Amino acid sequence: MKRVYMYSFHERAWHWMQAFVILVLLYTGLEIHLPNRLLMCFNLASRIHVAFGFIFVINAGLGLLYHIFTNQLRQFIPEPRDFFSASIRQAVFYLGGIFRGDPHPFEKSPDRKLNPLQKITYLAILNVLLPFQLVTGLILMSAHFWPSLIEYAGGLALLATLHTLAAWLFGAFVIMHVYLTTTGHTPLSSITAMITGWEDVEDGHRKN
Amino acid sequence: MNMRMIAVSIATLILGWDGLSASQNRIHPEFDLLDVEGYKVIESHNPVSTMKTCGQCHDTEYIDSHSDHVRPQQRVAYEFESPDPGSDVPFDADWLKTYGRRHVGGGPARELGFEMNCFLCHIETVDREAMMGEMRRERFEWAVTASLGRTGLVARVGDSWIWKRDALSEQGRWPIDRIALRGPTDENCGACHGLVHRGSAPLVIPEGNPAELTMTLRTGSIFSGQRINDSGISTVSKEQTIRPWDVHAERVMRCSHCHFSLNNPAYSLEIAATRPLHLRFDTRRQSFSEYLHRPSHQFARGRGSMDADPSNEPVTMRRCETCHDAGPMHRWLPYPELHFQKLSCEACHIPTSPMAAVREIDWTVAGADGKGGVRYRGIEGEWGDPNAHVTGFQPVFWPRLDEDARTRLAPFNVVTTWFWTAGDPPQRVSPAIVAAVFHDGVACRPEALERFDSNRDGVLSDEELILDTRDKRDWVAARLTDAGVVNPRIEGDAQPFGIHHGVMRREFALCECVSCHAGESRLYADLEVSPTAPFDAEPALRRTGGIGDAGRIVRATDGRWVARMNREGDDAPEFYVPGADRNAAVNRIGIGFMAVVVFGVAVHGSARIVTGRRRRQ
Repeated sequence: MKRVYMYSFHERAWHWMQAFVILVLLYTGLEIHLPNRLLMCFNLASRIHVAFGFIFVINAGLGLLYHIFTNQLRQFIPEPRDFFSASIRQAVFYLGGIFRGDPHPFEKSPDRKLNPLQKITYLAILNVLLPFQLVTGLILMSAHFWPSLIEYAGGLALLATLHTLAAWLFGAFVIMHVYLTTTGHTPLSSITAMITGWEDVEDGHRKN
Repeated sequence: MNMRMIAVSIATLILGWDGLSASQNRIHPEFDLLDVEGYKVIESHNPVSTMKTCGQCHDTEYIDSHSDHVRPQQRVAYEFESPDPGSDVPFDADWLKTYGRRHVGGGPARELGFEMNCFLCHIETVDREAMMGEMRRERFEWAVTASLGRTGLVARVGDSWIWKRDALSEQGRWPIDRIALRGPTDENCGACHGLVHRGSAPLVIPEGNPAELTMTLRTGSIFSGQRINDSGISTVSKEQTIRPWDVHAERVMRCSHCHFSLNNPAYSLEIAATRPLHLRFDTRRQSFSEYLHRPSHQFARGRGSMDADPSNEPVTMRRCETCHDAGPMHRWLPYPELHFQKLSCEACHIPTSPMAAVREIDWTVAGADGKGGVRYRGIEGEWGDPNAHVTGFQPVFWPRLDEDARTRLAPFNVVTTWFWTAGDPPQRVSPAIVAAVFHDGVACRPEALERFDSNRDGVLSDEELILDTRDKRDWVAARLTDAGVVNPRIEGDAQPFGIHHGVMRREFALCECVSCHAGESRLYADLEVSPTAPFDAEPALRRTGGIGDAGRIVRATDGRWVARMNREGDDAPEFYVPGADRNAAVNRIGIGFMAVVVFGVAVHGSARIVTGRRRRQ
């Protein structure tokens, strides 16, 4: 095992900010979807949802800029070479090797933080689900100023339904994401790393 | 322009006709009361002719010719109290004898001798009963004169009326200093249209005739600035209800401020349909003298609840937003423009009616007075009974097509009329025939008592006069058949009435988001149409007043007929209320997806824990 400075301060701050914002958005969104059943009133939930929606957009934009200018964006891009078989290896690990205590098939490093399955997941999240949720959310939000825009975009019923569906998917992703953080060296090593920046990783004794 | 008109114009411009219209307008000159031949009534002893008398200065032919108040189409409003089959009640002497109390005369009634009765709306004390008395006696030409019975200008002598010389001015003219002529007051409008109240005397429910179905009976609206807790009506949480019955009345607005004469220069606003496209505001308008000479008696009107085809009758009245700038007062409201696009102002500013209203009029039975039963919503007790407890009601909210081609949710009451029909095409069976089934002209028929008098007190109450069983319905149908009615069957006519009066100011308006944005949204709440519909009868909804296909009358699971917004199917209106509307399929997909993930995590995690322990052992 070796101790590696895995996440910079900016990455960690961005991550936790985004995590907090997403949780607030999910909670307030649920409050709007099912009013009077949780702790917050509809009006407050609606206002917080809109405010955190803006924070979400700004934070996503800042994150994109950070990853572009630090050349970290490449970490999210799957490598064509051996990608399919690598993904299979990772899946086989999750379905079998993890129960036997096998070593992770891919060594995590500051330059390669994501395994192939993570890459494909984040590719879908960041390129499909996140933009989709941003666009539908912004159009819904725009009703405050340009209510007609909603009609051009298909109507409130369609937009709200699609936004809700995407929110369910986000919720499922969050659960899956949190669970998969426990699949590191120890159950809390990945979360600790995202807090402190330092992570214990296995020595490079195998080829990725 | 003669000197009199110039004098009137100058005086009007100085003092302002509008400010005077509700008060004692002493600038109106004295004038001779003329009969139909143009002779002074004080000399001819004939009934007064408004066409001649008022026509000395005003263009009475013009006034008589154009307004809704004299047009025969207005009789449709009396359909609910129609004693005769069908809606095409002939406009004849019998009609006037029955409904003349709420008719201003003129138009077709003029042919019968009942001229447009200017005094109904332009003096304070009108003797309607005397007027009706003359009409019942078919002395229509005397009806206008009789309506002056309380002024002291005329007195009944035997079967006729005489003009009292000493009550007139020294010149034998109308004594303008004692009996003022002025523009219509709210009380004048309220005499026919609904409950209007001013002053400090506690407001009470008038007895009235429920079948007249005025605005108050149709919608529960009362035009009064009196606070509800100051009124004499027992209402829910009365002591805490410090709002007035109507904020516009409280702010000293009058009926004529919104329902103004269309050519009144002070109010005239050319509607978009006739205004030149390049003009937002046309400064040209007629002078006051021209207006006083030919005042339009067609008053600004909104969308009529009974208008089957809205395009037939132009909406000439200003809407709320014409006078009010909603923006500054709704800064607290998220998405104000979206709300304004989807909700009528009335939806939040008349969210409930604190007053009761008619729910059903049942002509399938007949009481001792030969009339159908009237049932109300929002009242515990009898209408007009000072001890009755008024609970009010929450209207049904249906999408209404507005003049800007947008569909907005607006509050409606639904009044259902049940009646027997016969023949093909179906014609309404006269209530007189129905009444004969229950009464022999002197007392209740024993057969009727046997079936309907459940408490055996020998009297058929409104609660007992309901065809709620097959046996009762078939028995009445058989009696009608015996009376010559062919194939009698029951139909129900559910008429929606938009609620536009009884407006609450912002402190009392609906402003809690969860009232609408919740699973039990008031926007989708049912309005009870008929808990005791005649056996096996179904009410058919009239799609009038711009509600289109949005409204539905459906049978609830408990068997009651209720008014409900159509939310399903291709013809459902495009409305989505976050918090109230949820796509069940999407929720099922989302929850299912979450469940799969949670289940997978649980299984995978458990397996890791178990295998980890085994490895450590």
